[in-house]
Amino acid sequence: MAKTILVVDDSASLRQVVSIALKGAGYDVVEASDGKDALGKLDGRKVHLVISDVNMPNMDGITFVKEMKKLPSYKFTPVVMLTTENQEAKKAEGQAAGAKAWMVKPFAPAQMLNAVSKLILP
Amino acid sequence: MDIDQAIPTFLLEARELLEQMEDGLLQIENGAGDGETVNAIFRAAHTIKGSAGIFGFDEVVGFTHTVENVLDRVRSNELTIDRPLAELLLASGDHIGTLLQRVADKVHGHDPVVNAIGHDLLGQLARFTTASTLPVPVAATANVAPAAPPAMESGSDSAVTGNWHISLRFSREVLQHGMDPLSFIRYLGSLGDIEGIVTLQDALPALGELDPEACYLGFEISLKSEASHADIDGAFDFVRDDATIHILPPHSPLQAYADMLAALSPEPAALGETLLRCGTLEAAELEQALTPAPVEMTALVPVIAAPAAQPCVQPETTLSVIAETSTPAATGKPARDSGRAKTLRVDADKLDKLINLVGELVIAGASANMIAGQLKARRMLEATATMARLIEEVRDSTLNLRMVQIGETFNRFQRVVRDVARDLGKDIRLVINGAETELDKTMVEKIGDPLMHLVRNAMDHGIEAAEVRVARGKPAQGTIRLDARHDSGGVLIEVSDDGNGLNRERILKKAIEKGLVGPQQNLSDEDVYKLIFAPGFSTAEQLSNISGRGVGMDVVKKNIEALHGSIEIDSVEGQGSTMRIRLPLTLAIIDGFLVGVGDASFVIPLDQVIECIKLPAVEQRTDPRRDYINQRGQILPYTRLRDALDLPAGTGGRHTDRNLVVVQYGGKRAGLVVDSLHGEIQTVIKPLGRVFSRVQGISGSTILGSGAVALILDIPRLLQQVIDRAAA
Amino acid sequence: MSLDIARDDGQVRVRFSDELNIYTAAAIREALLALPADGSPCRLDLGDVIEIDCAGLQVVLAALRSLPASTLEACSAPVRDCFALCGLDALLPAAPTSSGAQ
Repeated sequence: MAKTILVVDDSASLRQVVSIALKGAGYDVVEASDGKDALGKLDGRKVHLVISDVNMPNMDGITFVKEMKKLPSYKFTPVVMLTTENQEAKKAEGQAAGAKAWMVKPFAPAQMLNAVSKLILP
Repeated sequence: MDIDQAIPTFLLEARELLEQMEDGLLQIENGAGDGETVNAIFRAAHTIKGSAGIFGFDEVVGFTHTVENVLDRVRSNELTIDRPLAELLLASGDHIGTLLQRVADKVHGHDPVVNAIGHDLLGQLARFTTASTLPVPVAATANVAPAAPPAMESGSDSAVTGNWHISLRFSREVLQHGMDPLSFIRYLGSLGDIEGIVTLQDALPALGELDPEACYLGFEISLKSEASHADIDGAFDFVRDDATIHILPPHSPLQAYADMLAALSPEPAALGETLLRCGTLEAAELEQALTPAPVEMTALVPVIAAPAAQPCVQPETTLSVIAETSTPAATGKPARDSGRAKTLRVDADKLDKLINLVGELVIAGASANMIAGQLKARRMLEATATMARLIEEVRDSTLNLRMVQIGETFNRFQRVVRDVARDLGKDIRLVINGAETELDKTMVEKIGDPLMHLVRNAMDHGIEAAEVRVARGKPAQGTIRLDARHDSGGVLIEVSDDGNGLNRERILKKAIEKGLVGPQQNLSDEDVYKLIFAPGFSTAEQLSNISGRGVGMDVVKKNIEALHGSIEIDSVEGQGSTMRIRLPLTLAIIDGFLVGVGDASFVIPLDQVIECIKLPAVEQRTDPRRDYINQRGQILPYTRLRDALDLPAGTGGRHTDRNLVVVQYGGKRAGLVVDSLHGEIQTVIKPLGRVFSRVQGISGSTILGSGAVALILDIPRLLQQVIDRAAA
Repeated sequence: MSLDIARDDGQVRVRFSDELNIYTAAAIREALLALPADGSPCRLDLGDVIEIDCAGLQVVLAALRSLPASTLEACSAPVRDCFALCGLDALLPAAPTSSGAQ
């Protein structure tokens, strides 16, 4: 059974690329355009990993992770945060919220797949 | 993995983000922006860079990176956006647009002009950035671990094994952080063969004392792998804060194993057993490693051990102090772009296909209804009536899919007005109303150019120089207004200015010079104003480079008419003028009223029909040249449709000329005389073939339920004909 | 996650199904602790487990140590993979059973 990854980013093109790469590797993908949207996707379905941007409208990635950690069925779901090199402060805040895995944007799709495979295989 | 298919999404998104950036910058420049505006601008640049990076559009990434850096400093209040910076950022946005266009056009290689502009902008931006602003190359390995120490020659001091040894101890909290230690071991398995592994359970308590969410296990692993130290170390990137990791390269000095054991356990010998079990060390090697070195060797030990052990041992790093800061800004107040509705991007072709199908469905529905009527099957009629209602709803929803707000088009003008005003040395503001008014996407796309021309025209010829304005008792700052609203089944767009107004005398003089009108003709103001739409007409005594660029108002008018729209002018000399554009909501389907002349059927757009009356018997017989009736005390000019369209007389059928359809458009009314009335009909507009496209008064065709073709009347044009004739 | 507990022939047979992971580990631990401590041998049937992680593995390992004379019975493919990955093959029952999820 393929593992499901929730991809949260306000950039539709980034989501699309990440989805194509993940699906190509054999994962199932659910997309959300911001934190609020992503919380809505945590509706009881099994999610094995979350990949989330930090800076998003409506609800940013760190608030989203904090909210997710309050949900009994999702509180232990691993999160990979996407960040840029100049967001050290955000990273500290995110780590405190429980997001331990970080990836620096921009990245090549293969890099991202490699990173994901450290946490879950398809 | 074909990510190229996502490039169109990227381009579309990036352009939208650039527009948002521009809007935001203009807002700030006008003193209207707040913190969230800055955030939105930053986010736009940030997202463009991030997405461009994943596609490997390095040019875009590199440039946007610097812009983002400047914006980041604005966001953290180290910089404020003043006029010059806004200017620079707007220009930078334009440059990003250029770079995106290069991506869209698949232009590779270096364009010296683009490069020069980019270089110049980067130079200017550099003044606003802090020291380190080098873009991170896309595929850079972020975390290059120090290279593995060269393997020691397998002398008596080094292990025989050609395998890596990896020792893992996890923090109690690692599971709660969402990390599964087993996943890292699986990943190691993908880098080579795990030839031996021992799961250490000595920390695991009895079931009664077990905290099921804490991690107690440790692992000693012997890995046969060609991977580099960095690759193996990289497996633990995400768990570095939650684990103690030792990585010993193949043939490491025995002392390195001893040091590792000592670091991990108060009883190195007991732990050492596990190295035997997983096959890393031979019993003799372990024994040698654990035997205290002879006295004369002690001095040497650190020297040997240091290079091997130092880079490999990853002591549990402590997090830098983390303050539980308040929730980020986004939750504080409703974000400005929360108004951005959830959208689903659909290929325009798919939408067009759907609309075509719905069109066919409308026709098929009408056909079914007609047959049911002919069969006089009551229940069938009821069924088709229900179906017709549903089809109508489907049609409306489908057309609605194509509806977009005109605001995006309007907002583009903020920048235009700002730039043109500066070029003209005038102070002009743009006021937008009704940005949320929706109309067909095609229409929105095509109305941009005519509007652009009208706005430029108003700024150039309409708004006076500040001194003149002040002298006339007007505010020094001129105002251009863009208004949109729904009006009698269509959309009304107005471009108005509070400038000069049109100069009747000057227009008339010019028109007479050009032979457009005779010197003796007595024309109303409205007719005079209309002359500016005549081909090649231009009143500006001096052509400026803003509006007088060969494209005249005649082209504007033609473009609007191509959209089945019309334009009229209101002007008060000295107070300003208003260009009023009327457009239908959509080009695809209309509600029509079906009439017959002889054998032929015609459709009049329903919203242009006011009423149908019987043509008084007297009129039916009288002189066909008499062309108005007195309707409830008002003069109503009319024409026989047969005459207006030059239909051959007496082509079968009875031509009774009994019915008068009163139509209206743009506040004017006239009557059309037809033989028969067939009632309302829903119809799909098909473009006219080449033969009909030259027929005045016909705007399209449609297929009736019976399969016959009906022509759709171009009421605005017919109306004008009737009025012109009545006036002549 | 569900846990079926059956007694026959003086043995307790505990049948795990679905997920055996960090989300279910606590509940499983509770259920196992609630087994009557009468010294009957305990057989853990993992034939219907579709997912197991480190937390699940720990509970099983702790149970094997804490419950009297406990052994693993059937094991599904994910469980076998997990034990093999960790070098714990020795704990697995000799022959793969057909009841495992393949």
